[in-house]
Amino acid sequence: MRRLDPQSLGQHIDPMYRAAWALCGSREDAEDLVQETFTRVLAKPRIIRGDERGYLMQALRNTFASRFRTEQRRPKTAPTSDEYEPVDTHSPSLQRSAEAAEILQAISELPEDFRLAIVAIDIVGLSYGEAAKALGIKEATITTRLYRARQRIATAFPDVSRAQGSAGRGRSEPDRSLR
Amino acid sequence: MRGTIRLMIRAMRHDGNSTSSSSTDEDALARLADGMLSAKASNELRARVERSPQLQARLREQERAVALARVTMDTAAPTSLRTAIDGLIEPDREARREMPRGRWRPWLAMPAVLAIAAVIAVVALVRGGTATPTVEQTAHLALAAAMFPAPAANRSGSYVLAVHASGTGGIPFPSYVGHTGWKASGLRRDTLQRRQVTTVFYRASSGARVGYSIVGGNALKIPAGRTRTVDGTRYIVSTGEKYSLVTWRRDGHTCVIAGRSVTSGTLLRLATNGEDTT
Repeated sequence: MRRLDPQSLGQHIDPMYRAAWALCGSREDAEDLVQETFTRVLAKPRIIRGDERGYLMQALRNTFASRFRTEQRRPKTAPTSDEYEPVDTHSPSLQRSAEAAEILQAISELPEDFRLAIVAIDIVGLSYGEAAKALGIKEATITTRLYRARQRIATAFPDVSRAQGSAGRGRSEPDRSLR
Repeated sequence: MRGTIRLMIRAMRHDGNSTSSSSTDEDALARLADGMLSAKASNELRARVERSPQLQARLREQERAVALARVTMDTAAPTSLRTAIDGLIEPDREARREMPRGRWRPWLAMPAVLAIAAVIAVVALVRGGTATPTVEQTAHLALAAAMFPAPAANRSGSYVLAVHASGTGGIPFPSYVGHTGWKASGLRRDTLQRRQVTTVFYRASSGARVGYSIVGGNALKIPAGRTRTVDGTRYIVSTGEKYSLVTWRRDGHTCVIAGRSVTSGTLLRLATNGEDTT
């Protein structure tokens, strides 16, 4: 057991943001979720066991469960065309970030148990043991959920391996029936 | 580890031609895809996969999903979010958390401040009102309570704190957190025989605490003790009443690091910033 060092949390912002995006399905909600999570964690001194990232994943999941799930039931607003910034759609980095956004969006459409498993292990990078601890389930359970989550994601992006090789040339439309 | 071994045994017992979606296969395939399966179990499973087109397809699915997840790794948090969180992690907030009961209450430190002043006055009186402070007096300040929150790490260099010793022309205090785990926990500034003494307190995760004082002005008389030399600097290790201290000079100014329940070896390591001593 040791005290959580607030100064060391900065390094976890990016993985937590990706995890939040994969949980919420939108980058705006992900920003709110990450900020809310860090606010909660930093509100008072914390004693942690094990990895900081696992602790943050647990906090992210709890914040998501207590606040964002309720909010997500409310009607959402979509940006109007005026709010989109003009972008160079031929930029490879942009194509890659668009692809990442699609993948995170697809993960967010998985059933929650599957989503949490794939987020904890493949997005945040926790070990199976850490993920099981962060999510409060058995390691065998999380592995099974992870396996099935991956199956669905792979099915949703059938041509992605070829598309990666050709940097987005003619990738087929993903099958989004993940649930 | 035990789980991996169990998994390996189960995988070995499994019939190579089986096409069932047992959880054993799911476990093993998931772990094989992301490299979390032990080498031996991986070899066993790969041999089975080679013989089974269905297992090959299932493994490909897992590997594809892992590769897809890796595509997202370039996605970074927006600057606005990073700035907002940096604001939450600001040093003042951390410093306040270091204080007892979560809030800085200066009047609680008054008895300690008065006691220190009394000790210093008595020591000065006994020594006939000498105009030069002693290392012993400085050590008492290094063992005293903090008066201010901990200084932040200097952003331009992670090995120094954003605080300088007064009356020294800008000698900075070290930030130990990266290489020794000792973390700044408070600060005090005193005037001792017209000399400015700046002290930064550090705390280890075990709760042990040391004070690092730098005395402004000319160097003080160094007490007797064991001598260690590092990079040409002499460090004097000595003991007081229930405390240990190390004294040395930086740019001609006397530095004292002292602590109770801390070994002189630890003090020496902090004084030398982790360098080996001879």
